[in-house]
Amino acid sequence: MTTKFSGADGVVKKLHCARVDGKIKPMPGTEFELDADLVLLAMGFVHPVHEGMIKELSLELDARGNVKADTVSYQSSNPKVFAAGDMRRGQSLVVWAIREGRQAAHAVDKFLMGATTLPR
Amino acid sequence: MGKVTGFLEFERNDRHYQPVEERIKHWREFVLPLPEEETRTQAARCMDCGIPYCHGHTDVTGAPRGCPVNNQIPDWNDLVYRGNWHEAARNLHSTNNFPEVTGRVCPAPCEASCTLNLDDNPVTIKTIECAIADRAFAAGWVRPEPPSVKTGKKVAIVGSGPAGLACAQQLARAGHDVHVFEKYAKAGGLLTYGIPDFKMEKHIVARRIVQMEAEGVTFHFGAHVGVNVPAGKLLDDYDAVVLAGGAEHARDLPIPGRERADSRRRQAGHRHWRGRYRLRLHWYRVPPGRGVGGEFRDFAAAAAQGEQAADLAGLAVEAAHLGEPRGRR
Repeated sequence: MTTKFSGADGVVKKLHCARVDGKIKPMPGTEFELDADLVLLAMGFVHPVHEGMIKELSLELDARGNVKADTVSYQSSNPKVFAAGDMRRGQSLVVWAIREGRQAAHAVDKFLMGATTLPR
Repeated sequence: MGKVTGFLEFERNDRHYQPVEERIKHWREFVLPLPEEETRTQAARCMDCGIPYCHGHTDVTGAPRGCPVNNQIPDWNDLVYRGNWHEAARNLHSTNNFPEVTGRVCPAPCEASCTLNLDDNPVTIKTIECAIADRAFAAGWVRPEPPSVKTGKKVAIVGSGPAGLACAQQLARAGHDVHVFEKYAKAGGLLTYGIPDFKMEKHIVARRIVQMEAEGVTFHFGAHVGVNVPAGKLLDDYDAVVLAGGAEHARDLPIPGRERADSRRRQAGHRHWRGRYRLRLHWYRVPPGRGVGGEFRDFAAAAAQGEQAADLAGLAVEAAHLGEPRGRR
């Protein structure tokens, strides 16, 4: 794992790394360095951005910081507001996003019309 | 079910990649489709199992397995084997709004759950799905399906990634007046701004947007809800609001020296950030005159593991050979 960046004049030059054990803790004596002119962090996403829309709507969040809604009603803590895809389940696969979008459409149609013929 | 004895007769044969020396010379997709006859032979391997795990079910714990959208895989495997592509395309679209997307970038839990895994290799389900979807577009079978009756209800959808788009298409077809609010200049979310061209090219998403607009979906681009569009206004103006803005809060690496990486990013990247559409390519820029080896290994090392890291590495290699892309879209 990378334990430190170093460089000069605000520009990164080196990554300081170490091998990790089963608990993903750095193991002493395994340190090594990598030269780099540019570091790209591609470590995934933790939850939706809370600032802005979610805060403005005062929506309830689940334990992971996603918009809280179940997979039947897809309804958030505001009955008129629904959530689907990564915003509801956290970072996931495109095919789960399509499923949630379709099922949320079913739920919204039912909410608006009282009944729906859309599949879920 | 394909051919009764197909799985005994035919070996799995999946799409191949273009040779490395070819694929690093361009930015396009490099997966080579199978010829039609071979696709049908591969579909013939499907056994139409009593319990087709591929098309999704719920196990005793309630956890779903197989295809999350419940594609009726054995059915269209059979249709493809028999050459009935039109009905296969109709069947596939009945469960999946964007099979041309999943046929390219889905990690295929269907194949992982194929019964043939027990003592053989799974059916090339993803390849067959992609072939059906691509053929449907080529043949002109994918047409707008506008509703016959409008409900008079208005729905706002925030975000135009795969969840938002699927939701929008379904609701528009049900007769609602659907408005999609997208903060960037183009639709697609990660399909457009996250997936590199070598996995899926931009026109794949763009043609679906054309279809959806013809079905009555209105797209509002540059409309960032909660930033330049008040969320409260959506509540006032629409009968329902669907939030499909993704999980965009990135995990950080709070270690000593982190601010250096950040400052370099601003320094090197900022002037190229005008068009977010081009951002992904500029990110992967490799200094001119430097070979493929070192930089891209450093990138990969820094980026840890995962799909994103693989995308970065792939684009870094292409960038090293092609130089900086100029004026791409």
